[in-house]
Amino acid sequence: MPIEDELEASGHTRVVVVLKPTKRHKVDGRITVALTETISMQQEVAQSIASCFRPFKNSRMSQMARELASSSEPTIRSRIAADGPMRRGRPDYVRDEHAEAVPENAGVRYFPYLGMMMGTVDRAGLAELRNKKDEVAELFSPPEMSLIRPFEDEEAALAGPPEGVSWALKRLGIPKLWDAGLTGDGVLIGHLDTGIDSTHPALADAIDASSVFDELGQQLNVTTAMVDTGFHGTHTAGLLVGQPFGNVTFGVAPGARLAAGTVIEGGDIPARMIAGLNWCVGQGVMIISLSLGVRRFDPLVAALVKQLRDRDILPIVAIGNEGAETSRTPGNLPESLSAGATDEADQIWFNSSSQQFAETPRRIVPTLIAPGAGIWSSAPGGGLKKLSGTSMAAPHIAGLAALLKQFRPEATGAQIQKAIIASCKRPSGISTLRGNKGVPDAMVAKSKL
Amino acid sequence: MDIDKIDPRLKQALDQATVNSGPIQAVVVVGSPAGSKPLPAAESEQMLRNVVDRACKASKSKPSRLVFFPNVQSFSIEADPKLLRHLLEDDSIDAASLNRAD
Repeated sequence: MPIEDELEASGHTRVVVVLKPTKRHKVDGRITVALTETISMQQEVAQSIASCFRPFKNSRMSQMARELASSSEPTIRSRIAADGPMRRGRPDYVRDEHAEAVPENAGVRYFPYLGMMMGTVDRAGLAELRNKKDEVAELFSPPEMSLIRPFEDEEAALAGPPEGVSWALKRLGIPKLWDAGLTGDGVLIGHLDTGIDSTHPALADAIDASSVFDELGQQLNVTTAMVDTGFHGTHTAGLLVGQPFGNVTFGVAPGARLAAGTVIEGGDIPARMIAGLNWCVGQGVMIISLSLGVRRFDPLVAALVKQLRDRDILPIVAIGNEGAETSRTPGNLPESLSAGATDEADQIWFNSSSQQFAETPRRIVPTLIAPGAGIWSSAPGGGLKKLSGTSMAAPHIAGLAALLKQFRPEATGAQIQKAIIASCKRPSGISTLRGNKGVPDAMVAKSKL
Repeated sequence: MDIDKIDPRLKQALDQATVNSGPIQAVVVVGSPAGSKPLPAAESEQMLRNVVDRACKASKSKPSRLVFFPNVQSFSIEADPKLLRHLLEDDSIDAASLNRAD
């Protein structure tokens, strides 16, 4: 909703501001943001304009927080847990120390690496922000988050994960490929997400290269270890390449490594995703795991995914968490290998997206389904977290693709995709419209390659 | 360029822009002829530069910011609306979007 409309309707609105000043320097002939100096300067600016924001009792976030206390409905709980500003006090929440420049109860979140703030303002606060010409470079309405947000099952999580190999890995037959000596060794997987907590023991040495981009897609000169701006990226990275941790085995391809780009923080800005894809290609990845998407058909994203396929790169994409008759781009593109989610009972996960398009021949998405509900993996801060979503299904398939790539290094992305699809079998309780090709079998896929 | 491949938000931003409007940020993907092989990064970047240069000459202006993504035949650009309008008329452009979230 436009800023003015939302102000009129509720008396407050969420806004994003881009901070000034930004210091730039020349590195290897390229002008780029001098991150440390810029953050240092902008921290003071962030502190000075934080008073323009404030929390509102009737804001969407506050309402959800109240519902959290009384509702057992998982959607609300997960939405609260997934949204940064309202997660205060959560022990597993990792914050960058720079972000601490802004008080936690100020109704605003500060993104120091992007030089941005997002929070709630009333009309007076908005006017004040608009007058801060020396501090605010730009002000706009924030986007709907494009990350395909998973659902948390906190009650079950209290019991902790069962020890041993996860049900998801067993369901796909992954341990049989490990027995055949395939761990993904030598394979580089692209991972564009919220970042990764690189200090997590399960992900030690998992990140081969990392990157962060500004709003126009310029790569920032970040020399510090990679951090997760939320929790999503650490979880999906663990499913891709995580080592066994706490007597739990959840990573599909623990021998593979990641080229990890932080492209989601404070909004889906197209240039950041394009920059991340560009960077991944430059790093030499052949497989890219994408647990993100937009809730509409986007020709730009379609053109980009075509560029990836033209370069023999296999994009493995989550289809979305909005249920039947929905899908997200790029998961719904014919060029993507898209994944829906199943649960431990081998049923379709209720919120897994699926859609049939009026094309000839008819086309159904997702391409296939894989374990995605009730999935344990690494979480920022060194622990494990149980999440549900197609975001969890996609990395299982991307990890399988990495194992197959190790098996046949000369195989093209198209050949690996074909082998995975040929191995699929749809559980009898899931319709074609919901599960399409079905669940892959790792050993069968290997035999088809 | 195929009108369906322009993000409606970008089209709206350009339609609403006036002479005194500030620069607009866009992201652009440049296509290849059907069946052709992808260009190596260096050639891709040169091709992208040529596309931007053509629009610069036609509009007699320059972008304030420009970042090339040669590995995916794309670029992001911050420029005045006049330049962007010329850019979108280039037949080589496959898709373009406002560099702004929904």
